[in-house]
Formats: sequence, structure tokens, C-alpha cells
Amino acid sequence: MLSKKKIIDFYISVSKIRKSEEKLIELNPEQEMRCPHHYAIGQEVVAAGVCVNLNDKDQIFSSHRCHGHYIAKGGCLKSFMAELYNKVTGCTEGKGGSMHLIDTKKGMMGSHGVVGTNIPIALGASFYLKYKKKKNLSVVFFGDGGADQGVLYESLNFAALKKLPILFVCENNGFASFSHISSRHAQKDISLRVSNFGLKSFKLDGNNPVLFLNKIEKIISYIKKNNKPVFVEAKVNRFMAHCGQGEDIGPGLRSKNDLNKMRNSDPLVSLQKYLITKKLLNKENIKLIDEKIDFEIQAAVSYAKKSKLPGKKDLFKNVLA
Amino acid sequence: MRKLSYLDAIREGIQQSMQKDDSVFVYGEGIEIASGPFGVPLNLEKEFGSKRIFDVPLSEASMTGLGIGAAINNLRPIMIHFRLDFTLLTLDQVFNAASKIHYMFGGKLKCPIVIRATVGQGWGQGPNHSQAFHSIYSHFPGMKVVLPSSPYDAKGLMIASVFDNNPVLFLEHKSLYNSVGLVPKKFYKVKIGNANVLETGNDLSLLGFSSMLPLMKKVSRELKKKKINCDVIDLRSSYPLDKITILNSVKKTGKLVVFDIDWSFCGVSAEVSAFVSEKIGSKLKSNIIRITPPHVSHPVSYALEKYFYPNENDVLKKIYKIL
Repeated sequence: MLSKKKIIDFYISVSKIRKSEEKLIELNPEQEMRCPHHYAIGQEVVAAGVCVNLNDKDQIFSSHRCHGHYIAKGGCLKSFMAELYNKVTGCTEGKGGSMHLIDTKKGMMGSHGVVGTNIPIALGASFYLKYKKKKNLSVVFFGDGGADQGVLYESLNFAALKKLPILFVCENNGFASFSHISSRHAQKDISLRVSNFGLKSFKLDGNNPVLFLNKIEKIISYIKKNNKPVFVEAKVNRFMAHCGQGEDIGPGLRSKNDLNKMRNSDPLVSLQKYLITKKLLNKENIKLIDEKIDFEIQAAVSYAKKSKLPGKKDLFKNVLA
Repeated sequence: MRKLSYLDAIREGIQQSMQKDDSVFVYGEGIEIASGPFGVPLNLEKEFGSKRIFDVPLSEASMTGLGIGAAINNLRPIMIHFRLDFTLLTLDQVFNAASKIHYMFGGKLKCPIVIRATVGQGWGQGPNHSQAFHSIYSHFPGMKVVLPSSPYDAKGLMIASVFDNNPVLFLEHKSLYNSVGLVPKKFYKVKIGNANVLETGNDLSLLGFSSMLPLMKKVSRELKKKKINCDVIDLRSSYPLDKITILNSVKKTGKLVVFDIDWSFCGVSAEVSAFVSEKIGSKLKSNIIRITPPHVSHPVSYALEKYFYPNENDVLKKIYKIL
């Protein structure tokens, strides 16, 4: 049974991801953030729903589309903005940019820019958790493009073989950059494909926020209780382009009409409606929450803009440990 | 001091590392099997249990990621490949993650993984079972690459690799496995990046790694008969290179022969040669010579192998031309 606090924290997380990325889009014309941005607008429910069920000792690993995961896991917003502004105060001191976010204090253990690279690394983290008898789990987020990679299937096998506490989360938005799933998969049902690997496999609707939260809460407590791996495929809609400001409308991609349908079923809006209908929050409460988030984001942007760029000596820092 | 074989020295280095620190664990294909390939970590399972030494599926890429994910959490994995060739399946994990994870995350993570692999020269191992290509690993910032030539170094470099905070490729050569040498019983490290000057002479600098050392020593012995004295230097690691020792030697002799088990083109021998010519090129008294396999894939037939791997006579012929 979902607690009121969890649902509200979940909303805060979804809204914070949305508003942070909208701020990036708003500020983009200034051309001060010089690194590729892969927005997760439309997909926030999955990051928020998973991470609201985790603590700081649970570890997550992400891909190129990582802003949402970082924010949902509680990653420092100032370090996030500073990183996107290429500043030395950023979470990787200007080395990684938007595709390599990290906040180890919060259990955000890094995102990787090559699709699938993060999957076996997350497997290794779950191995560590079991090795040291920790009561935590490791989570790896990847897209349907990640489900094209051989390392996923190798990792599923090993996780099932060794009974490792890991949650594989495939955010299926139907596209691997510009390539539609129909041109890549013979068996389009990813969760079905995975179901024979010796671990539990679920297909969830990442566009139905409360249902998703409900199910993922049970799945995560199953992993923590049983120390066993689980695979989740979450169907999601990506509103923005694969990379940058566009919408990826065109032949072989999607139509304006399809995109409008996606935007009309915006999970953020349906979550707000749910909160109000169930009298968990009223419009005024939501407004106050959102204003507080806006304030935090603005403070992070100011911090990032005021921060220094790295200097020449920083180029040679941290080559060897 | 007692004598140990190169292979037993490696095994003892692993064993003592595991005794020293319970964050050290060992895994690889078939390594639980006592009679498995080379019987390398033989009997260690009895001492440490299957939690710390275990067999894995033939999933080289994800099993490398397994080590990386453990290493960034302060465990110290030793991943074993019975052929260096098999590591080509792992390069995304090694070069997009392990080698740069410390740098690209601003120093927030360290990746102390040892990738232990064998160069399998001999008995017709051929194009997928005997390659040496440490140049690739040496190319990427953040990696260390060690190539021991003696039992003493094999143990000391193994321990140093395990307790180094960076990813290390530990490359051992099958032809050295049965070579025997003095190895202390105690736990000791050989510092990575320090070359070992085995013989000194004023006429010629012979630099090389791993299985090239026996050849270099033979060549040196032969030249000594003609009153030509060589520095014989085991570089021990291709990254970091012991640049000071290299320069001191070549400054003294003015003549350089670089031996490598990897190809010459874009190889570590090219790097050493370029480095020397950039730093003290004007002090060289002759052209640099490189002794490496030719630019063809590794053949199986022993009739072809004898032309592929450098031999003493060919090396001497090349050297006589610069004397």
C-alpha cells in the first residue's frame, strides 16, 4: 500500500526532473551549456518511481539519458547544473558533462555514454553488495537500444545464476536514437524475451504513474527481501528528440499527430489530477511544491553561471588514481 | 631463497594478495577446475572458497563489467583470461569505462581491476590464440600494462597490480611458465614503471619485455664474445614506461635495439623509438633497430612460425649492421 508521503515525494521527483529539463531547454539558446543533452521529458515516472523506493546506499547506473535518474536519486542540483555549464564545480569537474553524471553520496554511481556499457557495471555493483552482505540493491537504467546489446543478456544470465540483487530497468520509448524498434527486433516484446532467463520479468506502463509506482514498490521490496534479480520493461513516451531541442518528427521517426497524442497523455498531468482527485494535494499545494522546485533550480543555475571554468592544470588531474 | 617457476610465482602472488585483503577475488572461465587451463590458480578455491574464486560463463564483456562494478566499490578483482585474444571481446568495458572511469567522473571513482591474460605462443596456437597486442592497452590513458619476464617479477608485479588503484593488464607469456628463478616467500611488490637493468655495457642498449628477455640475453652473450657490451634492460611495463632508465642507457651507448612481442607498426617499440629520437635523437650514433614479429597475423604452422618469431641469428645480423 502506497503511503501518502511516498506518492507526494514521487510527484516532487517527477516535477523536479521535468522542470530541470525545461530550464535547460529555456536556457539553451544562450549556448553556454556546451555538451549534448538527451532529455527524458515524458519518461520521468520511471526514474522517479524506482528511486523513491531506494535509499542512499542503493546504487543506480544510468546511460546517456541520465538527467532524470540523477535528479530522482537525489543528486546535487548545483553540481548537475555546473556540470552542464562545463564548470569545475560540476559533479565531474567538467570532465564528463551531461552523459557522465555522478553523485556517489546519493548512490548515483555514474552514467555512461555508450549504450549498454553501464549494464554489466551495475551487475558488478550488485555482486559487491552481495559479497559484502549489504541489504541494498543495484539498479541499471537503459533504453530499448540497450536491449539490443549482448551484454544485457550476458548480465541477465549471470544475475540469475548468482542470485544478485539487481533491478534491470528497460525504458522502452521505441527508439534507439533514430532507429525504431520495428527495424531492430524480431521479438518486439522485450520482457517476454527476458522471461526465460531464470529471473522475474515484468512489463509495466511507465505512462501510468500511480500504477507504475504501486508495482515497482512491490518489485523492489521483493528484490530486497529475496536477494534476487528482476527485469522490468517500462513503456514510455519520449516527447523530445533523441538529442537536443527538436522533436524528431519525420519519415521513419514519428508524426506530429503521434507526438500530440503522447503529450495529451502526459503522465505529469495525470499524476497531478490523481493527487487532486484523491485529495492528497490540492492545487495550491502543488503550486507551492512547484515554486519551491523552481527556486531550487534557479539557485542551481545561478551557482553554475557564477562558477569557474576548469583551468589547464585540471586537464591533467585524475588521469591515474 | 627457494626457487619457483614463473607460473607458481604468479599463483603465490595471487594467493598472498587474497590472504592480505579479503576484498581481493579471482574469476575467469574454467578457473574453478583444478585441472583446467594451465591449472593456474590451482587449489586456491580450497583456501578461499567459491565466493572469492569462481568460474564464469563465456561472457567476457559483461564479466569485465562485473569486475569494474566491483572495483568502483573498493573490491579488488582479478579477472583471468587464458588468452589475450579473448580480451578483444571486452574492449568497450575496458576503454569506455575502466581506463577512464577515474578521469571522466572527476576522481569520484577508482577502478583497481587486474586483467590477467596469457600470450599463448607455441604449439600452433595461431591467429586467435597467440597474439600479443599490449600496444592497444598502452594507448589508452588510465591503464597500466605490465609484462613480467622472471618469476621474481611475476610475483612482485602481480601483488603490485592487485594493490594498484588503476586498471592493470597483467600480461604473462606461456613460453616463460616453466622458467625457474629465486622468489622470496614474503609478500613484496615490484614497483610498476621501474625498468630492471639486468646487464650493463657501453656499446649497445637492448630494451624489451617479457619473453623477449631470454632472446636479449642470448644476443648479449653472443656479442660479448666479440667484446661488444650491452645494457640489457627489462622494461617490465609498457605503461608507464621507465623513461629515465631508457634515456640514461641510450645516452651512454648511443645505439638502441628495441625488442617487442607485439607488432612494430603503432606498437610499443615504435613508441620507445619515437620517444628516444624526440629526446636525444641527435646523440644517436646509428639508426634504431626494432626486433618484432612481421606485420602479418600469427600463423599456426611451425614452418611459418620460425619466420614469424624473431630468432637470434636474424637479430645478430641486424645488429652487426649498426656496429
